Amino acid sequence: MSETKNTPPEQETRNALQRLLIVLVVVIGIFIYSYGWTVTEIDLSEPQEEQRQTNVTRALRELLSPRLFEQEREVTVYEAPFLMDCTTGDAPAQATADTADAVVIIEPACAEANEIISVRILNSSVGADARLRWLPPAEEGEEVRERPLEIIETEREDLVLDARGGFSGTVEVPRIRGGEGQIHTLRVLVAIPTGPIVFSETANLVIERMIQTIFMALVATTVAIPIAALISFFAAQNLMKRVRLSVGSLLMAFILFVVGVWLGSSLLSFIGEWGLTVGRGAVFEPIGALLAFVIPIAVIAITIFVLARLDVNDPKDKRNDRANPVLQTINTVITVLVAIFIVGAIGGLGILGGEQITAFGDSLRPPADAAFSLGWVTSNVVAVAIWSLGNFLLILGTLIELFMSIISGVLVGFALAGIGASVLGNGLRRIRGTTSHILGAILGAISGALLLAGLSSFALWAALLGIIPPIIAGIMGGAILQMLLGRVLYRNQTSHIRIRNQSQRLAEMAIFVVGFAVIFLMMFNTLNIGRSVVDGTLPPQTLATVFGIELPITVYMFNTALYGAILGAIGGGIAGLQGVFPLGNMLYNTSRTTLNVVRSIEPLIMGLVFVIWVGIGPFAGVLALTLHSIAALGKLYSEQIENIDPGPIEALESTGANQLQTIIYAVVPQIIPPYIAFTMYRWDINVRMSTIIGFVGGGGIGLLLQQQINLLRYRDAGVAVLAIAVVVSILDYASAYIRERLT
Amino acid sequence: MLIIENLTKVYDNGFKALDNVSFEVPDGQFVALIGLSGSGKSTLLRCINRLIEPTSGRIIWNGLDITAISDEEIRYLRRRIGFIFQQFNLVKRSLVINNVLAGRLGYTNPIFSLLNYFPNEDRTRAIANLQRVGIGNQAFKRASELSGGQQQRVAIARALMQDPELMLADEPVASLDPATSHGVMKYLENLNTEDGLTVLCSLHFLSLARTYADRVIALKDGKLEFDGSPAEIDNERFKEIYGEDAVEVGIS
Repeated sequence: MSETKNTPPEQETRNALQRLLIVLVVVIGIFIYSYGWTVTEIDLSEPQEEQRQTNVTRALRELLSPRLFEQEREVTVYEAPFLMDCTTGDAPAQATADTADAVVIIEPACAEANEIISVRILNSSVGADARLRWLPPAEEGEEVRERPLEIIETEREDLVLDARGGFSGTVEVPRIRGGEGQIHTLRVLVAIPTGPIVFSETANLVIERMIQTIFMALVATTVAIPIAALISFFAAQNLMKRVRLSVGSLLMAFILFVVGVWLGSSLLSFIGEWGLTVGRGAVFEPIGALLAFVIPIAVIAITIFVLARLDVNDPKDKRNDRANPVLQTINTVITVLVAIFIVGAIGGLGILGGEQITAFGDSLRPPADAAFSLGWVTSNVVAVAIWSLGNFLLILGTLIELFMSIISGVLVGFALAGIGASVLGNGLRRIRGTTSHILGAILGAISGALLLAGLSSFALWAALLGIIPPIIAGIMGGAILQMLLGRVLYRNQTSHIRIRNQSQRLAEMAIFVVGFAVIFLMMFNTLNIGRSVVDGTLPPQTLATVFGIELPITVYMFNTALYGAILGAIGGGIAGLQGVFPLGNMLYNTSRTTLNVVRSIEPLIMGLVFVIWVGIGPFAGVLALTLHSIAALGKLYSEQIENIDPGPIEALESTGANQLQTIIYAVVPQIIPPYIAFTMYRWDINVRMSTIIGFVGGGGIGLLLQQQINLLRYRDAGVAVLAIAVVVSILDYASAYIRERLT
Repeated sequence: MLIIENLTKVYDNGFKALDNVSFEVPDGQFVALIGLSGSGKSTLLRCINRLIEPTSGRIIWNGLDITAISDEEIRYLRRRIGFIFQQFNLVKRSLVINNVLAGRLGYTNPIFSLLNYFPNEDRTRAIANLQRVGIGNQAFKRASELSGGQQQRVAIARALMQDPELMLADEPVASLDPATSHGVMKYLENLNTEDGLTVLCSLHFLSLARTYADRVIALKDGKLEFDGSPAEIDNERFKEIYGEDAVEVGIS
């Protein structure tokens, strides 16, 4: 690069300034970094203290000597007398050394406290473990307090007898108040192992808890998979950015969704209840008998009819290029009613089957006091397995029973929304001009009121959630200003696709922020949310009155809904029925934000809350891990969807496949391997997490570990730590291996 | 009869890919679309089945204004329009037969699709279509195991499952070697002559257009530059379409 030999002076100044700036940044960076060491209280004097070093050595030694095995021992006791303070009398006689019996001899047999005396053991068991104890003289009826004695040469309490069953060493005479002139006893405990080496009680407990822990992770992961997989489609930008809906269809769909949820959860959930009754086999109840026989038969007949009719488009009819709205609506309605019934029936069957199978499992269980044998173990295992299966079915069935009204509400809601978007939406497409804007305003007002009233019910629940309605209203306000600006800026463009340059984009962004801020602050003030955020109080529960008539909603909810209605009316009015609403983008942003927020809350914190709800134990841990896994897997999964080859999607769309079919045939085959890989990875994380979720009461091995650490039983804690290390590393290798095979 | 009237497409970023393009294609014609990269060939083809929404103008096919119908109706319409892509756009991990059956999805009940069920009739037809393009014995391999030419033939078989009346092909042979290219083009020609399908096919090589097409439409910077028979394109026309520096190369 010879051409830049002579740099102009201003260039040089700029270079020098740049260099100075870099130096400045580095210097400031060093200061900030060093402050980090102050904040984290790094202090090298503490770890050098002798007491702390002794403590940590002992704790680590015990942790690293886990109590894995146990063995029964026979303990033999030998004793030798000792006189404290030689001036008070004659030293007690010791055993003689020239004997074949096992003896202990102290030399000298009298001394003062803190003097060094020698101890000899002769002719005891070869290679046996032994310990020394000091027994002060005891009053009548008083318990003797044994003291351990440390051997000076080895600085340890335990010793090993040599090849002739002997030992010699020195100990220090302990200082015992009031012990002068009395006969003390030095006791030697020689332990000879007798029984077989078995797993210690701690090890058995740890294995049991470890199994619980692995299953906690397994259950949390498997429950999270379907939910996360469903959410991941909404959190994938490449799928969602294409989903656009006309404002008319969207508003229609939203209003009908709310109506459908209400209808489904209150009026139509009886279909689900029938399903439950039928599934449970309660056919002999007087009234139930009729319903349980007649209705299912009718429903099945209708189902067969529907399935036969569902192929609305006869493939042989080449001219059939239009959907029949009436047939479509009837099909949707019947399908959803059948679906509610089937869900209920499955739930009822689960409950029935669960009850029967658990009872069968119980009947198989052998008596607890029976002799231990292979047959006993086998039948016990079979009984537990069958009982667990029944219990699993029972829980699933009960879950459906509990959520029956919500399930039917959501199903009917989606069905009505679908009809609203396609059939009614298509009808609305033909409305143009002023009528379209007026209708847009009306539908917008209803939708906005419903939306914000729904959101305000969250706010009635916790103070911080009170800022959700103003945020949503603010977004609506910003969007309205943006639309107004758009009408000015792009007057000449007929298409809904805007062609903008950089400054127009900036202007749009700026006006959005302005609109957001104005509406947010207005609503924040009128609803007095500041007070509830500062004081942590909830909005007042006074009921709203309009023209002297008391409404069944609170003033707070009424005002929020009013904001929604006004903003919705303005927005819907400006956009008109034919405006294009980026529904996909909205769903994408909402689901991504939710996933990120939930994911940022550590499972330990969730565990704390769930422990309050369901009590201390593995269930709380499973719930916490499941919730966190849903968020984490949802994000990972959606990133995998974003990475797929878009070609097949385009190809299937061009064949006339609908969006569901496109996803099943073009997206799903591509994401299965990464989904499995990430699921394995998550299971691996969940096992690791579940080992510590017990620290907040979430069950599993963590609970055991915490108890042992609190009791300072480090040798037992060591077993748990070892088990965690072994299991986690095995799973680490296993999941890495499986992931490698898949990708 | 396919009628394109004043078709214009402006992308979100302001790029004008099609500028007031108009032409008519009678049924049963084999039309080659030529032009430089970025001249709007792909956009034009994708506007016809509305994979891309045109900004203005009309597309009328069999008397139906494609640009005015609803999203639901466009689905029913797309079933009758096959589309072949440069990159084949197969699901590589899926079996060949499943890729072919996917072409039938527009006619399949979505509830059956949830269960991955296709009527036996469709399965028989899928095998028949694969045999027609000469790879009947590869039906139960993964699509990724096939060569490029074979994959494009799978894509043709998939489009055939739609019972198309119009076949759109976007650079169907641009990713293939010359010998394989002719293999694939012969199958397209076959569809045109035997089944009477209208074919609209964008091509890189003019020589291919000369061999297979009844008619050539050239685009340049989104505008219609030439519309006529392949024989009419002499050296001068060629330079108008492809620019002064271009030299015609053949594909044998």
